[in-house]
Amino acid sequence: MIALIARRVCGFVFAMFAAAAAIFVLLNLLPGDPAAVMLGLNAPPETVAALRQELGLDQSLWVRFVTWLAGLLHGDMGMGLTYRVPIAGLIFERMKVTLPLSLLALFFTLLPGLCLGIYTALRARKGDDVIIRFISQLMLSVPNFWMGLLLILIFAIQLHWFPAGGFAGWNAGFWMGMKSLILPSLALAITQAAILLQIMRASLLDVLSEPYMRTARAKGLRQLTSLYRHALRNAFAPVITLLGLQLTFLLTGVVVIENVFALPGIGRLIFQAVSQHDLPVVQNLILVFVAIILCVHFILDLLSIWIDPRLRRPRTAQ
Amino acid sequence: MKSSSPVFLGGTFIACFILFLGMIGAFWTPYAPQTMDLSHRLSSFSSQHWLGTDHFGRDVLSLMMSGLSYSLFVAVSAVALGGFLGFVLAMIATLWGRGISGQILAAITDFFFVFPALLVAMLLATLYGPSLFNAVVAIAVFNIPIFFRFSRALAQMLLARDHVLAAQALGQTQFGLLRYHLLPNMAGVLITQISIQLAMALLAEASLSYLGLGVPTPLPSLGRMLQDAQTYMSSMPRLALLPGGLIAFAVLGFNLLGDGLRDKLDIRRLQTF
Repeated sequence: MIALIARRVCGFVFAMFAAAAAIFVLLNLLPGDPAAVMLGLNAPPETVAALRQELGLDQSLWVRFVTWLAGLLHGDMGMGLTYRVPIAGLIFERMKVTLPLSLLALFFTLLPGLCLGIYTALRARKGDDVIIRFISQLMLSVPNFWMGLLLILIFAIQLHWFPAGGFAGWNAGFWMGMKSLILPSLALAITQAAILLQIMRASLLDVLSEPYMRTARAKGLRQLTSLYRHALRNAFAPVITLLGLQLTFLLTGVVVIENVFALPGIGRLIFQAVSQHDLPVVQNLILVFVAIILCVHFILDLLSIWIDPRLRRPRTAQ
Repeated sequence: MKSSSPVFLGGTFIACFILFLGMIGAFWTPYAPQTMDLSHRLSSFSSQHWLGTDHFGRDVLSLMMSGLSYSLFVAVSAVALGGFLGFVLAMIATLWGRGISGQILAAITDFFFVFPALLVAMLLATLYGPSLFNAVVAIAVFNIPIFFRFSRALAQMLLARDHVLAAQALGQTQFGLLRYHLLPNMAGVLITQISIQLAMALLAEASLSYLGLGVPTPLPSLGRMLQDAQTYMSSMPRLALLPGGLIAFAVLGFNLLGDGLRDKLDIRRLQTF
């Protein structure tokens, strides 16, 4: 068990390193001079040269890569070009918006997705199952930013319940802050909840048709008990695998939604950095995103080992 | 094979309608989509402009048709490129790369999973600015591991079948196996997956052009129509409702088609995503 987890940790560290290398290679080896792109077409060559020096582009690739990695290990991501502030501090400040937003969206995804998925599987092909699945089929075709616009139209412009965008800040009180995060997190979650519902339903239906479920009922277990003891644990295993992909979509959704609602999170930061061609910020932020995705996959990996004992056995025994 | 379900029929109908509309939009629109007519800006539904005009007086229906054709172009090229690469790599890994090299290929393509289309598009846009090509590459990259995973799983399953073993025993080459035994048995699943990935690619393309990372500025795009419409949300909500509705309708069509095909061919268990 410990050896297995140690192997996964090694894999995780290696993947992080590979991701950093891939991002670095993509941004630095692809044809095109970042300094020239940043300054535009009409920039005088001296200015370009000065910027190249400031970015360290005149040094060799290896030196730049190692310097970057060493800085990262010390929590130092260097300076942004547009704002001239340390990037690590900038990201930390923006996380105060993005983290609560993502957690709220996760909550709104998991709760209805899992509950309704289980419910519709138990009521398969009955009236309410068909209606719920029809609605979820519609929901999962809606782009999340359009969902955001629809929610703004209904709950902000028509009903005035929530602000149409912007972030009041946590200093104005917890509820004021939450108020500006509810619509964006709902916009993110609705599509994802619809997908999760479908996966959960399909997986549970598969398990429910297994012979051991019939045995469980035949030996006198009530439906709820058999569901709780036998079905759910087995049904969750494939759901957890697919959840990794879903959370990736949730995270990229954050970038889009923060721009729809003008929330000052890391999604908005990376978007602004891209439009300003602020290379150091983009490079570090993309690494932060990839690191979050890798962490999520790592945690889900451990979770699936915990939930499915078969994965704990050494490979030869399978 | 079961009789045609309403899901399959509905999906086929919507998908065909969307493809048809997109193809018309590529060659003909009621008005030239870029023509501005400031005397008729923000006008409502009328017999001249069926779906009204936007803040520059451009015809909304023409913009939507032309935008749809660009969205479809990006989605189809991205799925074709990513699907082809994923499929070919998967076949190499299963037919010629038994053992360690297949696993290495699998690990590398799995690694692509941590680079969602949006991040790749942002990387490319930082270097080169937004373009159609960027959007296609960004979405294709994410399609590689998806197609790799399920084609590999499917091929491994088929390779264990008796008729494949018999063919191998009779001396069929690896190419022959691929051509006569794997491809015909994989076609249905591949088409299903393509349909579902097209839906996802359309969603991704819409997000990219909403952020201004996809279809570049002078060309019309559904995503950017929504971006523009946000300014007029309270006075002209239809400018946001119509293009978004068209995206959702297109995505719904390909999703339903995929689901319908999946039920028809009874291949749900093979589905990876």
